[in-house]
Amino acid sequence: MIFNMTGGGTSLNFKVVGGTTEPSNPTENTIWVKAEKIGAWYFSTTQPDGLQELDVWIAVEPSSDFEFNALKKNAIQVCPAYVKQYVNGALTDVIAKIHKDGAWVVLENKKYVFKSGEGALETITKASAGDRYYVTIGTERIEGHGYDNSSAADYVSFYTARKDLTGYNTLYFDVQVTEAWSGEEPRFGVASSTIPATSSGASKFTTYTVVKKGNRQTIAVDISSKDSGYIGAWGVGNFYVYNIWYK
Amino acid sequence: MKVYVDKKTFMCFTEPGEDREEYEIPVFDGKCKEFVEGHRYVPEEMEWIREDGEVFIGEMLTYGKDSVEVDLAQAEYERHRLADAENALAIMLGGAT
Repeated sequence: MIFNMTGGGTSLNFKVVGGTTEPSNPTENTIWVKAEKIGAWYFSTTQPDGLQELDVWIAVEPSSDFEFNALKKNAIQVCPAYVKQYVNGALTDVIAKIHKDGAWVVLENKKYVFKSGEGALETITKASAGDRYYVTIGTERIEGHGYDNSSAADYVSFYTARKDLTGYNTLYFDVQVTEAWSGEEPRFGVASSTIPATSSGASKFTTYTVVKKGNRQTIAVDISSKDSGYIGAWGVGNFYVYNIWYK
Repeated sequence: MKVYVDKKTFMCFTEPGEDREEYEIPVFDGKCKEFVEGHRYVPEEMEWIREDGEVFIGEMLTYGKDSVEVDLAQAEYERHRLADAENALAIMLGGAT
């Protein structure tokens, strides 16, 4: 764990500052916490013990998009992921940004399941009803094909392993549905168990958003009260999923 | 199953009431009152804004209460139904000649 020291500031290659507006003229790796006041700050992988009111916890992970060297000399690589502040006896989400390469970037607890250009970041299982219907998981997108024409269509589905969603609030799908069977349009969300490519797949979903035929869009699914489940999709239609993430 | 959705909060109810709209939601078939009333249903093209400002556009079905408690209530309901069915079967078999 790294925590703020008094003095010795010239040896650090970053700053952690509070304030209601972004600092003007920030230096590289300045972390701004949107709060009227902040106390001590801590970098650690797990919630620190003994936090005092207004202390800030900067959660770090093995890797992140915001990695930086914490020292001006020598090297301690730090990978901040998201930030919480201790307010009224509990850690709460807080808006935070880091200044990287001349721009502010939001620090948030964002987890990708599928990322266009990288592909699936974990195992995704696919299912389809019959040989003519399929799901393919590529690098650019997941493609679901469950609709040939108004007389030939059937179910397709895909899902991750069961995931712990505690502490996450919203699930997003960057998706386009190009064809859909009325009443069985593809739904995207979290299922209570693995999702078969059959009519019974519907009963597995009580956390979902339906997407009808249309343009590419980003849809949001509320998971703030959902503890865990299988992230995926099910329905009768053709779709492309470019990105799936939650925070 | 017919459920009644509050027009402001989009929470589901098993009984009609003021400011509630009726919807048919098949995924609730066979579910108990606590399970149904632990969910939120945002109809197609309607918008729900969560208290943190995040916007959700329907059609969306989600848990509106802690999913662990809601699922536990449904599991208890199914356990009681199974027990009742087993008792009825035992009585029927016990009365057979």
